[in-house]
Amino acid sequence: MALQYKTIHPVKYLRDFLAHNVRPDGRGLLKFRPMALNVRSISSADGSALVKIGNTSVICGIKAELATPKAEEPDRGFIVPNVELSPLSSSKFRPGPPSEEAQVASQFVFDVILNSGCIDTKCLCIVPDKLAWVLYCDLVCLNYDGSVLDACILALMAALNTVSLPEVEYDHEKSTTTVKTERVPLKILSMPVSTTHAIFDDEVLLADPTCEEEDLASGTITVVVSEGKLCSVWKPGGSPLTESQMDGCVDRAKNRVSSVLDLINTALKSSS
Amino acid sequence: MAGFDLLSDQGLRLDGRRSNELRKIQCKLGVFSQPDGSSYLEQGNTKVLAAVYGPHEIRGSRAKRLLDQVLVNCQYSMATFSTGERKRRPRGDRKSQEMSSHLRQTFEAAIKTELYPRSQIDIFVEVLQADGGNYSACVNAATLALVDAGIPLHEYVTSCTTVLAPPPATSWDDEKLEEGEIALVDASHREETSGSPTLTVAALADSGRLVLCQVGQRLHLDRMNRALERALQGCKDVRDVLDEAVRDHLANCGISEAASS
Amino acid sequence: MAAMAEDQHVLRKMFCEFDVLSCPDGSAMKYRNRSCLRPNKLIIDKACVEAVYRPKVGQPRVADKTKEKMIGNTCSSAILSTLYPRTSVSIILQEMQNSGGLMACAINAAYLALIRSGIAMKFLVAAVTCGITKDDKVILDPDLNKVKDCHTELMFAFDSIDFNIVAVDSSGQYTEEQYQKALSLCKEASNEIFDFYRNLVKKYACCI
Repeated sequence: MALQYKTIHPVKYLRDFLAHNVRPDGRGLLKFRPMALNVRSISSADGSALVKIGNTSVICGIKAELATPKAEEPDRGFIVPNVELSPLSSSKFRPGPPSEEAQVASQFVFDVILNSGCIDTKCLCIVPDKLAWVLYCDLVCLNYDGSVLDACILALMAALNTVSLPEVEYDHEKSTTTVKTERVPLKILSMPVSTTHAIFDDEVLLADPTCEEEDLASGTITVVVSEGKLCSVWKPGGSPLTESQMDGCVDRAKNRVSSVLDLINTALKSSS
Repeated sequence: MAGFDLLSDQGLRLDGRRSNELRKIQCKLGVFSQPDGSSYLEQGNTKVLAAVYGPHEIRGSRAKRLLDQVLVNCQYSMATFSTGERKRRPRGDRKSQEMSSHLRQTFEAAIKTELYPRSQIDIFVEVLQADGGNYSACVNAATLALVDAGIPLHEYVTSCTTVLAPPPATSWDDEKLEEGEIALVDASHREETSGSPTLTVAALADSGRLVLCQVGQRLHLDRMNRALERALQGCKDVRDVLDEAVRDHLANCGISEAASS
Repeated sequence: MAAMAEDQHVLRKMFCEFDVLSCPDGSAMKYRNRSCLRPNKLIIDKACVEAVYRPKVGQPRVADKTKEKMIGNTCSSAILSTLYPRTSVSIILQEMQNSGGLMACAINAAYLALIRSGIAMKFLVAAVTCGITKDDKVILDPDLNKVKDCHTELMFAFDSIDFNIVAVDSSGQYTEEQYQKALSLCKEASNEIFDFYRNLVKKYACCI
């Protein structure tokens, strides 16, 4: 009976739950879903991590390749994130070129890497103007159930912590490169943590929304906190929020940072 | 890549298996909530995810719908980090399209297609780590996902890749020398790319009927029967492993149902 | 010094020309509205609002898709979409020149075009950019030269009734205090933009 009601009138179904200050999956309005993290699961990648936030699963694989730096930035390497929202993860996505959502997510991840300064691209440069590392960070969403941006950032940071790059020697005279076998772990300068809220009915804020809640929401806001500072507040339109609601979101994002960092550290320790 | 022996004197392969031993298969059904059926399968180092959506209404052009059977749509995709070298195009390239088409043909034979006319079943397979036997792992994972989705199948479809290795210079068993090449069941990537003939077989395990058979390199006709026999036996062994996994999964579902009620 | 300080808290001069293009329903510097419906985007009880952003040079890239999403969502929150079921509202923007504060300019241009087209809206939105320099000074509406000194750029969009925050976009790192300072400064500045809208409407009331 509940399932039919949910299909016919999903908005009213959600409203009835919210009237009792609870959500359809039993959580409080501002409660986050449990997270699970597993690192170094893919041995063919230079760094990998699998994240589950509730039902949302994202796997991040990092591959390092050598390339020539850009002419305007000869002493910097590259980090290229790419988010894939495949039809495997949800019936919403069709096979074909990346959807708008995937492109926006990729751009968001790229902006977070840039804004938080988690990796200094100068460290990725081996020989200025000749040789630099490119880190291809591929985030594949395996199960799409809301808060994908949170899961992507978490997976990316965990995977970056597992990356170790081999030493490379470049012979200037012969223009040859030799890749040694010893590996040096990548230096991570900061760990950004992302938190998403959904706005429902212009009033109610739901922390860590599921896919159904996101579909019915009138807006979302994502806050990324890194080392005590805000490095991204992303609210792409949607219902207007008062200042106090915004402050609440920012506070919750800040409070969540410690538990997320603990999770990453535990996972890294247990896998090494 | 000649120069190393696929089979040592003691009859052990590069990873320590015997010629007729499968790699360790670990699988799990119902791993994701969004698809109707999903499974995760590990065959040695090859890790594959399968998701099934359906049966549902035909998406895209109505012209594609079949009036007497279901339309099976498969998509094979490899994660860019799944291979040693980063894969530029995870899907849409020739090899992926060929694999998708093979998967589609395999499952059209296995699924009871006459039960869902004018509908569509989507099977998505994602290879997270590729270490040989990609197609086989995909078929096995997709079978589990179909079982998880509750779609009626004629039988379990399982697949196995066999490589015919040249016999070692000295043999541990004089009898083997007469047979010539030795079939190595469930080949890993190194064995597949060694240049020896490979035979990929997908079969309906219980009745032993072949659904798909693909041969790579040059395989002598005299060796064909022996190789096919070994491969079919490999498929049957895989079927037993998958069947056990399905029964375990159902038992666990039953326990959790009983506990919650 | 006082004169310098004043410069930092003043918006640059705004200029708007309506009906630059003749075909669309409403155009303002960068333009169009209303197009025929596209079946795959059909929503039965609301209008489907989408934005298309074209950069000055080159093909649209992934970063432009983000701008499109931002503008599309900001506009859809204001439009009374339930009044126009099974239709689509397309907002198409063409970048002519970028001298800093591009996102805010785009949102304001989109709203001016919507005003011109006469689509019913719940509220208007004004977007303001501000930059934070390394010595913790907050500069309102920085142009390209000032942007070079700023390590952070924040864009806020406010609605015209309660001055609540409709959209936020940021680049660079900043503390919460800096964020609050920027927010309050931008809120005051948005008043100017709303006055600008009102003056425009008064001026062109005969045509709209």
